[in-house]
Amino acid sequence: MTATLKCTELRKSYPGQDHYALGTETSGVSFEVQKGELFALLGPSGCGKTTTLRIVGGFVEPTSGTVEIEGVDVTDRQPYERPTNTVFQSYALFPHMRLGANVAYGLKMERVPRAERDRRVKEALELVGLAGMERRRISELSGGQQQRAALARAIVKRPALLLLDEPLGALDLKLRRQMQDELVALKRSTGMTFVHVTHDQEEACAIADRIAVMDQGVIVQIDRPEDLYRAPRTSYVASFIDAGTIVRGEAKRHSDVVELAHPDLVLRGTRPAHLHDHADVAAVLPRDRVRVAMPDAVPDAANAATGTVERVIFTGSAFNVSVRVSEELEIRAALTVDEVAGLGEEVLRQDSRVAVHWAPEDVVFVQDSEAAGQGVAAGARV
Amino acid sequence: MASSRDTATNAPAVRGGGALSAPPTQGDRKAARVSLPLGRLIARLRHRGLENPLLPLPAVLIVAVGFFVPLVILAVYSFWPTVNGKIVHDWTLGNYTRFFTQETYWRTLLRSFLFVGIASAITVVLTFPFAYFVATKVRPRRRLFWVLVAIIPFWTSYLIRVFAWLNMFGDEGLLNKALQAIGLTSSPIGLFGFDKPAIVITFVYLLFPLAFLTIYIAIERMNPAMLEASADLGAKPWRSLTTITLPIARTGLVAGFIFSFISMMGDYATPQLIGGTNGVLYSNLIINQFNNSMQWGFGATLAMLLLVSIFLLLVVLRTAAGKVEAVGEYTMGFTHRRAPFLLAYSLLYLVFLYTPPALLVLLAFNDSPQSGLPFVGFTTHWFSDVFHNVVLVDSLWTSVQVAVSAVIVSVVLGTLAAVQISRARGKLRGFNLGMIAVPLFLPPVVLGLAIIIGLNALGIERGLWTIVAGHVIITLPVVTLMVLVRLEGLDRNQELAAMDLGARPWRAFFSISVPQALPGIVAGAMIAFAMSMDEFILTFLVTGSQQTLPLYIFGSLRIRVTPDLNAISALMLGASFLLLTLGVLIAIGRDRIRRREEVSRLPAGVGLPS
Repeated sequence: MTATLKCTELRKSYPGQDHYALGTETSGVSFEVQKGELFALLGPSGCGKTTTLRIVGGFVEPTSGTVEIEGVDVTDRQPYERPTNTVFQSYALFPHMRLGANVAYGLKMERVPRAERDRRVKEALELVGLAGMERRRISELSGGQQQRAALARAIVKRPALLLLDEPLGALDLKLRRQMQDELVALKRSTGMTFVHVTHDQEEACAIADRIAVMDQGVIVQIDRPEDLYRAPRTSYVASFIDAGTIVRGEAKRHSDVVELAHPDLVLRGTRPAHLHDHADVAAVLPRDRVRVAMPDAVPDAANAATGTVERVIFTGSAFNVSVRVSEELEIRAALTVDEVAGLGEEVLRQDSRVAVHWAPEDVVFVQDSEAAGQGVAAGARV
Repeated sequence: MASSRDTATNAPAVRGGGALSAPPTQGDRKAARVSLPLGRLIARLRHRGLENPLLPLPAVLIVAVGFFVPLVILAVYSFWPTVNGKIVHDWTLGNYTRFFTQETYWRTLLRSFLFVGIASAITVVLTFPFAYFVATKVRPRRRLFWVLVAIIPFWTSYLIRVFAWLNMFGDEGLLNKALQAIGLTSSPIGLFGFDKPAIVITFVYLLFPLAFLTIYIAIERMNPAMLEASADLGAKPWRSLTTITLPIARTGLVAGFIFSFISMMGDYATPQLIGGTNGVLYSNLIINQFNNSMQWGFGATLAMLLLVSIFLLLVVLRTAAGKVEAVGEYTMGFTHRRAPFLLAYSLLYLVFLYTPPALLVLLAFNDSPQSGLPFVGFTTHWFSDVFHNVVLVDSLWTSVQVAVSAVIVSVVLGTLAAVQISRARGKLRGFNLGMIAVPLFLPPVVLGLAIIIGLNALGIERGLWTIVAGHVIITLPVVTLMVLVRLEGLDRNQELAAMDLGARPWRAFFSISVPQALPGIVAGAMIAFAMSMDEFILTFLVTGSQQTLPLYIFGSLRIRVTPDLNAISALMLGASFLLLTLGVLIAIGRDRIRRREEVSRLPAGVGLPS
């Protein structure tokens, strides 16, 4: 099956700048998006995610690399010659046209007959919950309505690929959650393919089928959200999605086991297949796998550490407890309300002595992106 | 301000600062307003600080006294007949009947409207591609440079620019000399006449910078993502232009047309200089009533009719243009795309802009007793002649005095007004803004006539101060608007933050807003200075016996074109250029330095689109 979108070795550099804005000398940005998929590009600002999206939309010409949509190379095509439509970060609604004219604009360019145009505009507005508002001025719409208007304008052309450039960034939390649900519903009802750019890992996990995590112009990992949390490949990914506590130390690699020695504890666990022999290694202790116990009630002393409670944050569904093991090491654990009830309120009090423990199979070993001379940071320079 | 109100209301006992007390109800406020004695009113106004509604008062009064009062007198005069060169206080419609029954008058008005309308339209149409290029195809960082290059000619004397074209197309000009030299014609072909293309070219040339600025600003504030969105939805560049860019920029296009139209309509000097006796536009007709025929009443009538027709045109155009509403905030993204044709066009336009002044400078060094080509040898003695010309040096000094006075008055009053207007909302704001801005929309020829009729009616002698007053009325709106735009672009929260940290309103204003508004103030002062140094149309009418530099140049141009005029022109070009460069360096220097500091503080990569 042909991928709906196939990007191969994309690179972008701007004149007068000494490094790539996208890609590195050794590798470009490559990924595929399948039909009906909601694919998210996730990363901090400046990581290259918007540049990638703009290359796909045709607004930025890549320095090298190709973009194929439904098997056709569109790299040299103008935006108006591509089967993509974009929901812009700023919405870019046309202020001199009413809502209906804004949504109809793309169909007009396609010379769709009047009757069909009106019907499709009506449909699109219904789909985003703005039914009957054709005659509204853009300035009369609220922020959330403008967001929906931009969405309607983009989907009315039934693009092969819908590009979303941080479209929910300007909305408040409640509205953002609601729009996330609606995007997922829209995807289900239309079967459309989405590429979604965001810096919000919760949003990406909530709506995306697969996520590409980007850092300094390259994709560091592409996976389903649950796999990203369960098996981050680098310490960068683990820390960006906040997967758990990252522990650094002297690592010994065996064929299928890794042993990492930290002054305060030794972590043993399964060696993931991607971890090659020369990579620097760090360990991740997933927050929801770390358990808390009273110091005298630890089941397995080899996979445990003792410390004092530094702070507790209640998130609404869990207590995030930070336990200070030593000057350098603080281990975080997420406790459910029931667990806390079982252990007693004592465990939430600051400075009380507790133990943290985990099962060896839950320790995730990753490539350490922050080690000197390693990782993408150094490679991004030309 | 709350404390003064508390004394007038029955608010509960105030603990600590008055600002913490509960706001008075609407009823309380009304009661307070009614029963407020004068002393308390003054105290209350004092407490209003930067929002004090008295701040724009001096500026508004100047326009009211210097503009509206003369205008009313002008209107009255238009109903009075002139008998033997004396105005008779005897109400009649005779002046108006005369206009409509004698064909020459109303035909000239119609013909001038048509001619000026066509020339303005050509100006706007030819300017648009260039403005579009600079606003959308040039990198943001380089735009300022292009804008400066485009408007520098605007800072050089209006009359001298007309003169530069005479050098090209006049009877003694480059083109005729060339034609005669190659034997195509034996006598000069008269390119300059009222109905000849050269006058259109000259007007387009003169008005280009003004039209450029208004159109450029309209296109530049358009969200670039708008064009990306239309392309994304399938519009080819041409369709994007007609469906997005033109509709959004249409107010700017119309404004460019209006400004061109008004300045051309009120310009009696250019047609006189390049059209000779044939160059009769409507404004010449008006002036003639005051110069030779001494028909003041009828002249006032002609001026009133010009005012009314321009007002009608403005109303029609405003209605036709409608209003474009700005939506939301946006990030200024820019994606470079090549536009070879637009670039070529723009470069050509710059050549068009710079050829006349370049020729002028060249001729200033020509060692020939006649102004014009061929170039016979290099000399600088025309320049030393200029400095030995006592009349010229005197008129330059007069001009400088007038300009400095006008700039000081309009910068002080204009800034005061802008400070309050930028904070005010509602009807008073609209009134103040309208009052101060209205002289922009009326041709200076009418203002000049109104002032001399007004002075005459009140029996006041003309003198240097009348020139200064006239210039202030013209420059005040420009300075006020430029400072206002700058102040409104600032984040008011910065001032609130300063006050939160303990600064009183005026202190917060001077330490936070003034430094940031300084580029606007400096630019406003520079433009005001240049306008005043260059003003001819109004000055010619309101002067007593004083001679400013433009008046001197006009006189010389009318008598005979001598080579030392080239030298003066070259010197003025140089001076304007220096002044402009200096002003810009001061104005943007601060911005530049600040921006560089900000950029160096950012971690690598943040400046790029993510």
